[in-house]
Amino acid sequence: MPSTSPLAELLGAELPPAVAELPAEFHAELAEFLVAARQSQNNALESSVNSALKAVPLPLRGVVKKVLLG
Amino acid sequence: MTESMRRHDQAQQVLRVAHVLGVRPEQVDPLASVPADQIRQLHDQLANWLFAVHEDSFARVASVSKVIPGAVAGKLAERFLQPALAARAAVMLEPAKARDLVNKVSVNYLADVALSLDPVRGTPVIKAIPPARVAEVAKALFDRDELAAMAEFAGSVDKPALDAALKVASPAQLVRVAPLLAWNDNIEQIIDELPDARVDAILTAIAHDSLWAEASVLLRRLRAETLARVVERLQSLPDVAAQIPTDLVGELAVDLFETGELDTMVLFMPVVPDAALGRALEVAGGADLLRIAPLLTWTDRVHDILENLTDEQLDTVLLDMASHDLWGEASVLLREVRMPALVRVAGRLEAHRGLAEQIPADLIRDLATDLFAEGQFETMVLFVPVVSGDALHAAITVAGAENLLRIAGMITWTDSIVSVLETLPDTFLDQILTEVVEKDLFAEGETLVEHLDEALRQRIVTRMSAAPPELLIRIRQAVVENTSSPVLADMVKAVESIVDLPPK
Repeated sequence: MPSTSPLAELLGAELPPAVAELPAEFHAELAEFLVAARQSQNNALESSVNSALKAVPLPLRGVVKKVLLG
Repeated sequence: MTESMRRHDQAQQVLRVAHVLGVRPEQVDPLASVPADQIRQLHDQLANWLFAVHEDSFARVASVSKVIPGAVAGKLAERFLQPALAARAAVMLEPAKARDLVNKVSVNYLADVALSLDPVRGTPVIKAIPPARVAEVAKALFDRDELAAMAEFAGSVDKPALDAALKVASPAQLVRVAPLLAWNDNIEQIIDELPDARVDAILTAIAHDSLWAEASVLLRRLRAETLARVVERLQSLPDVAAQIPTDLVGELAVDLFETGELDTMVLFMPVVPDAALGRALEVAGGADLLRIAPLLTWTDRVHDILENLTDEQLDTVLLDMASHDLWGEASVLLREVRMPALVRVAGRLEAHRGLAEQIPADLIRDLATDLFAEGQFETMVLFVPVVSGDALHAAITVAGAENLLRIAGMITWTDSIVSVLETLPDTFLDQILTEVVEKDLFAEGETLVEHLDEALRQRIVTRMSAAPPELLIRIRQAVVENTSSPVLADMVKAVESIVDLPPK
């Protein structure tokens, strides 16, 4: 079992035992995938919000913008 | 669960992890060695983490639904919000709003969202979706073969919605999704309520598509009553029943014997192929075989299988008979089996004398009643030297004098047998004398007295002396004409010295 799993550190949680037994390299890969997924999610959210805002009917755009962007 | 089913479950969970990370399945291939429940656990950890890092953003997206009409919100979501993001925002919707929104987006988009939806966190939202809409999404997921996703939702929906979802599955899809379901009362009830036609279609699909591994998991999860119904349906589907794999019946038999559901096990007997029936009786072990004996329909197939048990298996039955105190069941078994099996039982008891001596007298009395009634003397005599004195006494009592005379020449005589005869009352000895004369059993009588000890012969002489003169005259005449036995001749002489008989 890896002594310090980058995946467990990232998640801030103990991994399931059989997952914890997998090679450290794989843990590192999963951690990279997860960070990439977070970035991708962030980009997608940003892009969705911006695109959606443009498509919101004008009378509603102000209130939607306020809800989405604070 | 079989190995192939385990692998299938694992593969489905690996796909879910790949999906949540946005990578190809082969990039997370090392997970294939991890048990499915732990891959599921990892999936939930990853999904929760991704949800948590943008929780505020998802909450804001969900809040938009409060300030714009549902139709607009639905259209915007489907056009601009990726399904994975929509799924994370969806769990933060008010259930009433969710119910409204699911009708404003396409079924395909909903199915995409469903693939990323957290079934636990999303439970209130999922429960708000009308069953009809759930069925449409389920149909889309089944069509895409997204069985793991379907299974994940089964625990989050109410019974009407689950019923609606499972109704749209083809019989084969239903069988394939069943092993992935976290079993609960809703599922059990829905299966209970399936009409016969649907059960038949499912069974036919199992055979047609060779879904026996999945069927095994499904059948082993059913309650005994439900399983009994399935078996009843199988009786009308002999082509399907004929294909049931031996291993599957063996696994079911292990379960049913373990839980004591013998009635259900018995239902399988006439339905399944010979090999499967053989396996079921094989896994039964001694005690369960004895317990099931009174419930069995004793067909030739059952007899054939029992007659082909190995000595070792037969010994297990006999040992369990004693150690589990299953004498009543053993009595049924011994009285039902055909002669070849009974002969083998007697042979095994010969090898286990200590065990044979434990057999209660009542059991041997019942067995003797049957065997003498059927004229099965040769089988009866096999038990004579091995059973206890009490049991032998009981057997001789039901045998009666005539039958004792008839088996006298077949018995392997021992001192113990003679000792038992010594305990017989005078009336029995009188009966022997009468039967010898009435049934013309002089040769048998001669054989009998030759095996007796001196004390018993003396008792018989005494009884002969007290017998009616006509009887004695006929014995004397028969001895003169038929016997070369010096023992019998001496006994007649002894009688003549006591009783004043007419001249020869």
